[in-house]
Amino acid sequence: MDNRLQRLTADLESIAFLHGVEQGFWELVTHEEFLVRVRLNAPDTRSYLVQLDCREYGDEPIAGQFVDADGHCVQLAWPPGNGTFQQWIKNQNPHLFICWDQDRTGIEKHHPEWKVRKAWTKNKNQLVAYLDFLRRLLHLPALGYERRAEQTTA
Amino acid sequence: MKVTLEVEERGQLVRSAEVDAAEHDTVAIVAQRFADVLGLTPDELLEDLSIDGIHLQPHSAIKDCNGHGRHLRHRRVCIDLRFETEEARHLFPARAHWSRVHEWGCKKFKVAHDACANLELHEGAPDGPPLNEEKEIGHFPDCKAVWLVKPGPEPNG
Repeated sequence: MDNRLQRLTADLESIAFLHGVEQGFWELVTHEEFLVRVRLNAPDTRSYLVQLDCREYGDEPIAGQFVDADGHCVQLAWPPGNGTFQQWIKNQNPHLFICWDQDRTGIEKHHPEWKVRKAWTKNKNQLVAYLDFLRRLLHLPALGYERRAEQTTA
Repeated sequence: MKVTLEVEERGQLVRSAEVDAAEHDTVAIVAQRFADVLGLTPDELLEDLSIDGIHLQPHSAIKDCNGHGRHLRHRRVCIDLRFETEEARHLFPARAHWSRVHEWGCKKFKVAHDACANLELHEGAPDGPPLNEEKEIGHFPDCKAVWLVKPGPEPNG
């Protein structure tokens, strides 16, 4: 097996990844070679499916995008948020991408100057670092995720 | 009828209390009586109140839960909460959510409301694994070290 694929598989089986599953932050939906789909649970009971293209895992950043159940990257699949949130999560058509120095699309198409930072190599577990970044965006109020109002029953 | 409640702390039975209850009393009413006797709040008691391992609902009739020498049980677990240079220990109901620990910590360490919302709980160390505040604390015998931390800013250029 390709050692990058081995590394990805090991990170999917790591204690840190499984801790996120056990805590209900995320769950693995599919893993086909370098393509991983993970469901992220938001604090307002909504969840979002993120597709992670992990080719060249370890050497290159992950390319993440939110997708619908059919795997299509459509605006409705992206979490809503205010201006702060949209610094990182570009959730408006036609610009649907994750603007972060550890996301391949963000770097290659929008900020090539970030590539020299090699920020994705800072954490030993690249996959968990990516998921933890998204987790914080969804869970920390200051980062601006727009939570659905709690429903009350009459 | 007599109802007995056993309080378990850190996996050990540490005290018990007995109160009188009428057949039509609900679990919530009886919890109030135990709370008065034990110096706990009824809400805390109701968060982890079981008999033979089955969690009791506040509106259930106590007569349906009691009898045959069975005792109610309330389990409390120890959290050693740290925030910056401060530290405090407290016992929480095992079935309480982690959000209760977060709220308690902000009061204890006098964290302003706005700042409190942007802290999160990490297990074992400031950079330890994060805890989901929507989840139950769970049951464990020892005191668990948990950090209330402010995550660092995320760069985006």
